[in-house]
Amino acid sequence: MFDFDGFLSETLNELKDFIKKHWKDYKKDIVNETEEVLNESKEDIQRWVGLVAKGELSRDELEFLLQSKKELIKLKGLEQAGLSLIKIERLRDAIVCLVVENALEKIQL
Amino acid sequence: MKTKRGFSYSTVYVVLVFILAFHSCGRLIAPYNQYSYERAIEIKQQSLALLEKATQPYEEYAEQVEGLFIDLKVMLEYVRGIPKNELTVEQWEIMANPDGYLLGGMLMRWKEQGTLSGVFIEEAQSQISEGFDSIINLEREKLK
Repeated sequence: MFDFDGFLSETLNELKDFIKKHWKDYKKDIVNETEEVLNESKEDIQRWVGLVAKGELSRDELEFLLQSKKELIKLKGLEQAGLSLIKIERLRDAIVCLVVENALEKIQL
Repeated sequence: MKTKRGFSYSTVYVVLVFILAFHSCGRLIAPYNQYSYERAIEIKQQSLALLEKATQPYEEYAEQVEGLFIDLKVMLEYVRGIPKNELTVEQWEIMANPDGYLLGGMLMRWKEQGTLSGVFIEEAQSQISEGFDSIINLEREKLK
């Protein structure tokens, strides 16, 4: 008889370990990416303000660049959203493989 | 014919097909597309090279700018035709929008003002280049 309880408990334990490991990496990625974007934006804006002070950029050009920074942050946000979905798909693929492998092992084809 | 545990092979087969079907039907995002990836790189290079010329009068490059707008429109139509590709579509819309502040907006500004300053072009190019990198990276990371 197929040991369903054994299969379920083994699979759940492996899944817990798997998710714990990968979710940790995933959270770290999001925090790092957000910090990076904010730091880069700060550096760019400080440089632009300096260029306006030196008369190398006009106020109108500064305004355009600030708007472009906002759009760039939105564009990067879309990238991060996409990368998150890709990670979820990879996680799901791995979970399906794990479940199928465990099932086949239990069935002992 | 039965497995060692008494399951018929047909039952095992149906279960595995069901798992695989469930798995493949529920895509969250479009798969990797080689054409999208290559065109994003080409359009990036083409755009940055053209913007280098924006210190010169727009009229001299009007044809190339119009050609680039057409390439952007074609690209948008292409990515819109791919299911589950909304995030990439939105990225291209932001990049190409003539009323926006990335590539489309920059080209329109050149058209309206005739010429642009070198310092301004350099700073704007860096933003546009990063935006393209973001589009390219998302495409490259999609599952094959």
